[in-house]
Amino acid sequence: MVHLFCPKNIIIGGRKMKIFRIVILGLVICLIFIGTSYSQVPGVAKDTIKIGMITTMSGPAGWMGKMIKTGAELYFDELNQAGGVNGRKIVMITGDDECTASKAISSTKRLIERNQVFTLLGGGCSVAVVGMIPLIDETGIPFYSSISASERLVVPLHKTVFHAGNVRFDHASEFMVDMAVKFFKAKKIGYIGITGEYGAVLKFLEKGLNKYQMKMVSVETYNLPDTDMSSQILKLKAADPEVTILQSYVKDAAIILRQAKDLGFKTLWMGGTAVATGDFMKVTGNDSVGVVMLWSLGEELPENPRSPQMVNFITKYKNKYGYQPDFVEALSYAGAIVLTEGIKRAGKDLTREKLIGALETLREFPTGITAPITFTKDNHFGISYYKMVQVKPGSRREFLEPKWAPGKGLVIK
Amino acid sequence: MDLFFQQIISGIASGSLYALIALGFTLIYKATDILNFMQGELIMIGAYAGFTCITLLKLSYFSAFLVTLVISGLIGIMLERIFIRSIIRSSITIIIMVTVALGIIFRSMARNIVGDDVYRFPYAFGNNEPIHLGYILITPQSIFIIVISVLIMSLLYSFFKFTRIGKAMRATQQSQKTAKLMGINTGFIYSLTWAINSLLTATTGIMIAPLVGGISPEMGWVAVKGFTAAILGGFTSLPGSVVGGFLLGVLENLSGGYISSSFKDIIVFLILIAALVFKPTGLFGKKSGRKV
Repeated sequence: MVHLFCPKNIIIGGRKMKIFRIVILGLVICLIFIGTSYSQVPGVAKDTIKIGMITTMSGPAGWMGKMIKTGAELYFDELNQAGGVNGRKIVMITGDDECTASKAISSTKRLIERNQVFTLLGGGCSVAVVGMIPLIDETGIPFYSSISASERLVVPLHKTVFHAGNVRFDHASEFMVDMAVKFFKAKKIGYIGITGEYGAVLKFLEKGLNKYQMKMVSVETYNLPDTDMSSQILKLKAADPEVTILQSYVKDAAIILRQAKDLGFKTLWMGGTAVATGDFMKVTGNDSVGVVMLWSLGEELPENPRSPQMVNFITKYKNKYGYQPDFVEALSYAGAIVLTEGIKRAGKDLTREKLIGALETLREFPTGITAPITFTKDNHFGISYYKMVQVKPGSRREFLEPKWAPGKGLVIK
Repeated sequence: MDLFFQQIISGIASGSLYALIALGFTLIYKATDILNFMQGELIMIGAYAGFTCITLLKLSYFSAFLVTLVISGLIGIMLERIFIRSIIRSSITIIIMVTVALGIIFRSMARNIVGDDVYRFPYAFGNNEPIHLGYILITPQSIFIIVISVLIMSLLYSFFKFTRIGKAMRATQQSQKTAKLMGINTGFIYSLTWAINSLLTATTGIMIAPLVGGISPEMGWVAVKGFTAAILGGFTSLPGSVVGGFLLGVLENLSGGYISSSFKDIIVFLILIAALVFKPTGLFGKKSGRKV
């Protein structure tokens, strides 16, 4: 059998055969080594890296997924045109969480097992993202969350999960309470918000108020897709809060503001980031004038970009997709920048462990889109500070002066 | 006490939305024996048609209203001719499934054509500043809806009660076979019913759009409340639908205002179940001789 594959002039056991065997063996070892060095790391090939974009492409918050996808896609396209990262181009594969935990798990499984992605990026609905965490812990795949507001992604610390997106629920609550009490000098604070994961902010708000020995004067909730909030608004009106926290999505916030106006309820509305969009001002018109909102893009406004990175992002996004992007697209673009920086720092011999280690070396990393990003071994939440904006006539947003930083609290000049 | 009366007035205002939607459900059921589960999507189509007339064609609110009625009437006739007539003798399950499927198709089409964005819809009267009646506030849009829904209810009631075509519609609903034998053109009756229903849903869509946070492919969800109102009032009674709508709105407001806003839906639906246990035909409904 051996003779079938050996040249006739080679005598088995001879010197030539020995050299031939050594060369072949060397080649085989090299090939195995090269092959395994890529195949051992799922999603990493010689010239490509597969990234799984898991986000909400359909369901009640399906509008969000397109923005998240296009934000990251734009950055990776730019990056690929410039030669990629460490010589490898990014291939982004999208999975839909449909805003439910079960779909998030099945789509993430597909991305990990069938598509063999190297890392995950994105996120959308908090309920879906939080539902994915046990699977991420089990598989050890890195996940960079660039949108969700849930603190449960990083509290307690999950070794492979990094979060630098929207204002975290616990931070948002502290910030809103501090602003209401210290900046707006409110003595009476009310609340109206949706039930479910997004409304989980209420428990943090109540905790935050305890710090000032205060309690909400009225707590009102509603379910999706309620279209009548008048009973809640009348109760709020009777309690007469100076500041009312509005934990709602755009459409229901529009109903609340409109009905508040119809029922003669006047207050300073303070909204979460879900309403801090251009869409909110478009849908509510003059009803939103005066509304104060949490802001997660540092000191950048998409309608008035200042940093070169933000100007570049807005210009290229408008050229490619034909409309003015807002904070969701920008956060996703920034997420792609930070993840790429991690991949770059992890070096040519990319592994998931190296990526995690590299991300943990980021200190005050400037994205030019968000506030600077810092991760450490013990802290996987990256945003260094937040601001608030207020809606002015003509659908303009203006920054309020104070900043709020995790661990430092409210900073008023 | 002021709060109590304001809760009642606000309940009547939101109940008027439910009443308008309930009227559509009852009309279709009364005339064709069909439970139309795409009613919400027809409301959405009416609202988008009105919005297109106002923003793209730059028509005034009331001109847009009239154009939308014409468009919607034609859509209703087309729906009946293409989809409904061929399944009219099928089992109730098939009819329900077809209307559910059509609703999903319309919603998906809307999402693909106009996206998931929510658009602000103008009020009928300027900026809808509330009117003060002592300590109680009510908006012109709410008064407009209350008046229109009561007016439509009265017109439909008279139409069914006193006109030949209305009587023919009722006869068709009771027995299509007998109606045909009596010389009634049942095909025409079906088309007319769907055209009237589309006029009604378009009217509803345009009037409620500013009150439900703007127009979007998902705005038809409000039809669930209209359906509940129709059941509460009695599915065969037009005045019952209107009363059911107002009652549902007031019950919602009072339970939200005096018990708990989080449990508002639970309380309202428990009341609905209790009401149906004691009066299965609804408040104004009559016992049907047939079982489906």
